[in-house]
Amino acid sequence: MSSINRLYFFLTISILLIILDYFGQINFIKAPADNIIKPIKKTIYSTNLALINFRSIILQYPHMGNMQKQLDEMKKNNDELSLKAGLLQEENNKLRKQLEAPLPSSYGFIPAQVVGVSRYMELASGAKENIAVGMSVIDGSVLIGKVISVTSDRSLVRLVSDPETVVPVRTSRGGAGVITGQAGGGISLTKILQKVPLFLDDLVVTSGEENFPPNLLIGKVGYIVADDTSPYKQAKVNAEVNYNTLTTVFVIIST
Amino acid sequence: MIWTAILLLVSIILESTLWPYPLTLVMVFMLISFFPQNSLLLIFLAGVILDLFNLRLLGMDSLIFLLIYTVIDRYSKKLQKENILFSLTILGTALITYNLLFFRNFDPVETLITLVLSGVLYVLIKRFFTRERINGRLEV
Repeated sequence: MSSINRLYFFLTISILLIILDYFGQINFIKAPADNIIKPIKKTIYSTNLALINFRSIILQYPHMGNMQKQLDEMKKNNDELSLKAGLLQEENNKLRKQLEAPLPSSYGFIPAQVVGVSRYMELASGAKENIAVGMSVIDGSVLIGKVISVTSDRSLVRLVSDPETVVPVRTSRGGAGVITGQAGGGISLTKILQKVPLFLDDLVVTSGEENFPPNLLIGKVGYIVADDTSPYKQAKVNAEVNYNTLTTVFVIIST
Repeated sequence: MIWTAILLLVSIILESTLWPYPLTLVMVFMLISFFPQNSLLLIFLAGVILDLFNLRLLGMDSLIFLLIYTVIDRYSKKLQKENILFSLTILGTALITYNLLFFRNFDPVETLITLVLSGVLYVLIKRFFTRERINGRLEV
């Protein structure tokens, strides 16, 4: 087969694959592939996390002497604290039930292991664990993103910091707005009316629209763009968590 | 060819797991530029595997890689293929398009750094791994 014929052959197969995949006709290929891809990604991702930790340890090396002294003091304190810990644990369990109530009790959570964070976050759980497209993903009470694609064993989450993300939010002072991701991983808060007060460190939480559960924390206002001629205020939001270092997240299912 | 396949696989894994950056595209571009003979199957497979790793529509990346192959193949006959500026112009265009299409991101500084690094890589591959170096003479 000549070079040009081979090129047309592969181009045709590519187009055919796109059409078949669009209509979900080749999932029988994707499902077994997941079983190979998932462990590879899991290993690479966890190795990368370990390397990040190792790098921070190396950077701390010059301060090792001081750290040893601090460690000795901390050991003493630890003994005292462990005594108190037992009592506090019991109290904590009771408080947790109350404090963890920003989400409706009708919500269920599916724990999912993170196996990669590139543009999207990839989870090692999929349709088999009842994860579906459109479900919100959280870490504690912090919104991570929304599920946009699911196979039997894997799912992709579009992060809050993705340029295609649009989440209706409100601030801790009551102002309503919208957050969108920015190229490079930042989060931008827009559509806040000029008359609404907005200050640094104001909390930004979901308003409950667009199928996002209400009162999920996104971050804090880190920088306000002052432009009195515009009808809306703009601000940059500092994300509450580092999406690149998460290992386990929870997918919300409403029951 | 085995080493090329391994390099492609590594770039696919890194791109899909850690860095939202078209590393595979750069590798495929180098493959097309220097070893166009018998590289079609590798390019096609690289695209399919990248789609599987990224959970994209199967065939999407293959199509893009093959289209880049077509462009380079078509215009290399009309323009000076050995001119590094020609190659980097095509790579730059492909990078910007690919970044906007799949990563919704255009960072001029990042693109410039990639082009400079690719230029260095281009010269190194040309110097040490192409046939004209191995045979010690230019092909006519």
